[in-house]
Amino acid sequence: MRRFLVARLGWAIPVILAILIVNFLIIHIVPGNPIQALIGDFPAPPGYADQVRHEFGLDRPVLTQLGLYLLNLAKGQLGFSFANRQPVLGLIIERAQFTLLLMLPALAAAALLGIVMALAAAPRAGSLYDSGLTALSLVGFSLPIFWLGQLLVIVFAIKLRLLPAQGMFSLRTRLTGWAYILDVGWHLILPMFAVTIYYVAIVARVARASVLDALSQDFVLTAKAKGLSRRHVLWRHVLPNALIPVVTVIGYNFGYSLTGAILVETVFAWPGLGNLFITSIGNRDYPVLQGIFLLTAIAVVIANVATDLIYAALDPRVRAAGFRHA
Amino acid sequence: MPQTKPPILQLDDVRLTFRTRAGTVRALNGASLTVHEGEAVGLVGESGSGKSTLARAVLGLNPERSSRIEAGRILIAGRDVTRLSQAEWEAARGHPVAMVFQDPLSFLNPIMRIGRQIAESIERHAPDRRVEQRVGELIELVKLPSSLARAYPHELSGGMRQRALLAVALACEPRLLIADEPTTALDVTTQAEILALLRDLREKLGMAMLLITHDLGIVASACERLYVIYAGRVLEWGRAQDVFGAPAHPYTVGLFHAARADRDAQGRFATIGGEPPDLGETAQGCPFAPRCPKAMAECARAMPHASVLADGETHAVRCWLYPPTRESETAVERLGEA
Amino acid sequence: MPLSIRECAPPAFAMRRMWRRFLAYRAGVLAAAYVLLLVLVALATPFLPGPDPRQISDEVMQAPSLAHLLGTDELGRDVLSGIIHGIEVSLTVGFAAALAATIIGVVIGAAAGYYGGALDLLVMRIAEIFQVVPSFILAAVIVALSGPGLTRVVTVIALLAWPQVARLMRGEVMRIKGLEFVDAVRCLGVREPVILATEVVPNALAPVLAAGTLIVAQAILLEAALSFLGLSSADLVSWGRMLNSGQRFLYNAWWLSVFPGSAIFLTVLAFNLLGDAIGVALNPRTEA
Repeated sequence: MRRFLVARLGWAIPVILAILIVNFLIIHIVPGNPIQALIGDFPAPPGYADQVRHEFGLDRPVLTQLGLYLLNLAKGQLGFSFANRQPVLGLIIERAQFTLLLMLPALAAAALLGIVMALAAAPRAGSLYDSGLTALSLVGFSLPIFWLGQLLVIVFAIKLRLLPAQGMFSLRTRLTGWAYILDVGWHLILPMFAVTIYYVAIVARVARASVLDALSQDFVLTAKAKGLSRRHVLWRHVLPNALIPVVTVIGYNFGYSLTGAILVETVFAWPGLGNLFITSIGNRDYPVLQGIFLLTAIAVVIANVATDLIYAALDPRVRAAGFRHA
Repeated sequence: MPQTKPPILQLDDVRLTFRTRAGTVRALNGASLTVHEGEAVGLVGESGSGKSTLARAVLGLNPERSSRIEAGRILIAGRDVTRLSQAEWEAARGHPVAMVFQDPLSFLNPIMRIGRQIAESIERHAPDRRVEQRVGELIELVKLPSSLARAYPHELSGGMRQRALLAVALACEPRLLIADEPTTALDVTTQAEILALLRDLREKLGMAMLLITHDLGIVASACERLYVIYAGRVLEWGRAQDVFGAPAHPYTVGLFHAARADRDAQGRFATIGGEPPDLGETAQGCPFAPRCPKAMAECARAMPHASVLADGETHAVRCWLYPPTRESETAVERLGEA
Repeated sequence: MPLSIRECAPPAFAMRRMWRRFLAYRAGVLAAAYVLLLVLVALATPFLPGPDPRQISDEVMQAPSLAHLLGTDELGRDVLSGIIHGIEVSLTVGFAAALAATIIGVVIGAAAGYYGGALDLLVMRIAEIFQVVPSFILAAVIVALSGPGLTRVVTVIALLAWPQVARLMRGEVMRIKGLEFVDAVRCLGVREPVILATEVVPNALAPVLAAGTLIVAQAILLEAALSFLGLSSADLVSWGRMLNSGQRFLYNAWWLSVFPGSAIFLTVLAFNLLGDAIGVALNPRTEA
């Protein structure tokens, strides 16, 4: 297992380095003054521009600049957001919590839903229900998720008046304790629903294939021949084997899921990264935009490594091989 | 030598069909076979002869949705399992009849430890046993190192996996073990080891065995009696020494020639000419007739009755070359029990 | 040997079989018809009657009616006209980005797969990085910093999408270069780059075509998302842009959101279906 971990880190570190370099290049390749990319378009105090210019060595050779850039990042300095009057790193971490609050339950729900639907469809391969499942994932892949969000708002919030359309809590009253949590949950339902539908598209297709595959494996015959009940065979033999590809697909698509959550947030004014992203676009708050890219990219790399570790924990064959299965 | 022990498994004129996209396939066309307590019986045939279908039919392991037993009885220790409901059949699997399969890697769950896979059988069939201890005993019984209980299938060699699979089956405490090509995936040395192990285990446990194979050599070394199956029909059966001494059916003769790789006059390897029949056709006459070097007009018309050959009623054949025995057919087909 | 020749240039009967498989995939045919219709409408747009989609009028926020089939927006602009004019942006971005990504991917993937070694390792590592990075966020950051513009959007999407093609191409080339007929051609003394261009690449194009079609779908979706975030020039009529303004009026003008969104969804779905159908049609292993 340790060898495996080392191998995965050996993969992750160059990738993270490459992401940092991409971020550095963005500052310099885009038209305009790099100083603007580093500060943003918000009025900054006089002298700040000179300070940044010095810190990042903008008048020095490119390689020195890259070195200084990496050094600054290593110190956790992602810049200062004048629009939010807050260091970028802290700002992003604060907002990321809300994004995760939206994303993780949706992922869990999608995984569960995808597996259940696949299990229900598997014995009826080729049936109408089964083709419906395939169609569903195709539709999911083609839906602009922000539009899905808008439709949900129009139907459930505006026409039916069932659920709140925007925000994370009611503005009129100050709630505390359980009432606050319930209120947040109440506001969470619609955006989470949108994200879940989107994720199910990824999960259902893989889950269907992996359940069908596991059901047709020879070891199922051995398990039946032992006299195990159908239920036991399904839960203890088929499902664990079918879950492995599902878990890995969810993990490897962390970036895709994150993007989905971010886009949905902009529709529901959910105060997470997506909201920060769109307001920063409006404010030309470039350090925040770059910080979001940098941190989400690193999060995706970490999610990949974590997925590999989970994969290895679930499948002893991978542990032995110690390399990535695409 | 008449058998004295009661039958543990008895197939009576079993007809089984598969529904496929291409139409109905008659996989078993009235197959009859008997295995007595403690006895080692071989079931020999080419691939596609229906031998694996027969083995799986005993435990109800053929695909539920596409296969159907049209006629006949399968008696396990006297109980007809074809009349069982799905749940009853589930409960009847493993004991008293257990099964080991051909490819030991794909037939073991890749993400479950060997010990756990053995333990599942124990918990199912002998729940009052001390599972941990019993797993150890079984692993020892199949001559594996005890540390392997914690191993995963991919960590084992082919021979070790087959032993592990055997332990899974033995944990059900079967009185009959059906072994479906248990050595085909293994190299020659390992084959011999597994066969020796099977012989030992049978002696130690007094367990009957139905060994399914295409390899006559294995039958010769491991079985007391044998059945030759072709196109879902048993064409010849009897004591191994009798059938080996004087194979009667042209198909059996062909198998022997192919097995010994005899060269004919032109120096070519002798094989059975032609292809196994298309099982979709309505079976009429002897299924081997189209490939048979001695085929006659009658062969295409009807399936011959059984002819008892050796004295002591231990060797019989279904072929027009031999005069049919006057006794009623079923009696002859159950000849092993007599 | 005859098998390899068949792989080089599919004879008539193989073409017919592909065509039958494609037709059998009915959704794919429907999708192809829809795409064809879009292309025709886009080409005919300048000649179509109807209001200019940028034309501001007094009839603001009109619900769908006979005069304005899909209603009007907050400046009195006709939604149907906007959707029709929006086809151009979506198709341009979709086709241009997919074409660019496919060409880059084919060249790089073929070189990596054929020559292998350090080049292969480098290319595949770069491709992997591109695939790990959350591409939408990267695209949005680049466009936000460099300013909107169709060419920029196309460039960014192509840069993000080529690794998909490159990986596929590399795999196909590695498979095909090991086949017997390539060895035979090599024995004839044909030079390696010529073999690559004339024997290996044409044989690998089938799956690439399917992947390229799927990239059209991704590109359209990505452009719509960028425009939705406001990352497109305000003077361009695009579906994503319409959803961006629709977002502000969800409460009183559902038509500003429902119709442009449907246009995006249907178009992306059509290209996804088409890509799947092409994949099935060109894959000789699937049954007719």
